[in-house]
Amino acid sequence: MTELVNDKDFVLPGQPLTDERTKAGRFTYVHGGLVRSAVAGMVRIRGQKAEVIPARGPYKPRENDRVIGIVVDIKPSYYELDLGWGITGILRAKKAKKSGKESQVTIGDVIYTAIAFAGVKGVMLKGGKDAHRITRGFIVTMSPTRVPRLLVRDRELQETIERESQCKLYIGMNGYIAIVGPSTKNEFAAASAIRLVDTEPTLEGLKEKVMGVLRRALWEELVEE
Amino acid sequence: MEKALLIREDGTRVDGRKPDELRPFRMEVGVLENADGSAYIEMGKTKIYAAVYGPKEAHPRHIAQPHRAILQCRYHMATFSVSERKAPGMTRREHELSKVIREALESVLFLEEYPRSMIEVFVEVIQADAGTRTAGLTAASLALADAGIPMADLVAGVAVGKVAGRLVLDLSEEEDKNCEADLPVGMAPSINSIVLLQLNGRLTREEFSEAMRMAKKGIEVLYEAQKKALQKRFAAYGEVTD
Repeated sequence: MTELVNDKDFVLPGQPLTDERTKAGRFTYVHGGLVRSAVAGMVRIRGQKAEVIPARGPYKPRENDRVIGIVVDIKPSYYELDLGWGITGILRAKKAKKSGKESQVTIGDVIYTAIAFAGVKGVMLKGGKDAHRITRGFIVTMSPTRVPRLLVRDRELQETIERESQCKLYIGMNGYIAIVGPSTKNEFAAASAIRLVDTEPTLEGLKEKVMGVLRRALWEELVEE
Repeated sequence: MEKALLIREDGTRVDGRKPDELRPFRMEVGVLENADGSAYIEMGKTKIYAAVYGPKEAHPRHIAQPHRAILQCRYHMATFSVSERKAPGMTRREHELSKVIREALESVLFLEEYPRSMIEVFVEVIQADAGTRTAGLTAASLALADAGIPMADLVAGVAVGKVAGRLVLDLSEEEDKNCEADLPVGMAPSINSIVLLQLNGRLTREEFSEAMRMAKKGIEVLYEAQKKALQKRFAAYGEVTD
């Protein structure tokens, strides 16, 4: 067994990663006896798997991922949710109805749920306790490859934004983020912070910069009042 | 008379290049903010933008495939890309080139990763000076990599022609108009796969082998430039997922 790259190396499509076929992980493929990268991104060698974390790219549904979907169609026995990137998730009506006291789901509703199954049969979403209808706030989008930036180090950035803006963030791995706060001012402040994470994820001292954006936004509002 | 002028007595070409020399080129990735992926390429006087949108919902919905994404490709030359104004609509040639570029890209893309969706590739020729299909393919491949669409390898392309009885790499407009044969080649170099191969005119078996060898050599140079352009694009990525 030979590793042809090191952990955290930047790789490009077609670049060989290892000669052990069984190590092929996400965003890799096997050709000519070598495991190769299928995207431009960073290599992660974790135990028995070599995978690539794409630098940019569309969302690819994975089981148990938390996602936000928008109801686009109501069928007799299920709801169709738009997850972005051309992906439609199926939420069985029975399961959806159990999830909230207000059982009537209408087109345009925003549902925060998780993926139960993603494969050739489509994307099935979890209902019951896992599904939550978001009735207030608004949605911002960010690149799906940047979403983990909010969640690393025990959700450090997410908690910082929530604490400073007093908003609750519902983070969908599909790049949809719902912000629910006490006022639109707080929600806009949180949205500005998320935008900073999306556009400048490599900034040094990002957490401090995020806090700065939030405090500036909220402080200016207070001064105006 | 004109053909004789295309190759000088010392064996160099009318623009001073050696027979196996590429035109000066430049590549850049991520040049269009509104597209999901984009690239720009200059090969001599040829200038091309490529943009990628998707994966997104397939329209019209009946074209969606349950097991893979649909790839749509549009090769188009701007009205001002040639010396005499070109009609803005799609010509037969543009339809043909859209098809060959699409088929070349389909052979390296893992379209089954995004079932029921659609990926659109736009190749817009801003200035044409021969070699637009191969330069367009090279740019489209970069734009797809920029968009993060999984693919087996980057694709690069170049043409080899027969001018005044000599094989030459990467034809210029003047050579293209007067050549005896033109062989555009597209390759995925890492996996050693030919994804585009067309031939206008006639070549002997030996000439064909030699032309393929020259094309491969040129493609390897372009492939290295593609890799550098992508590395430049994602230079700061190392810190993103810490």
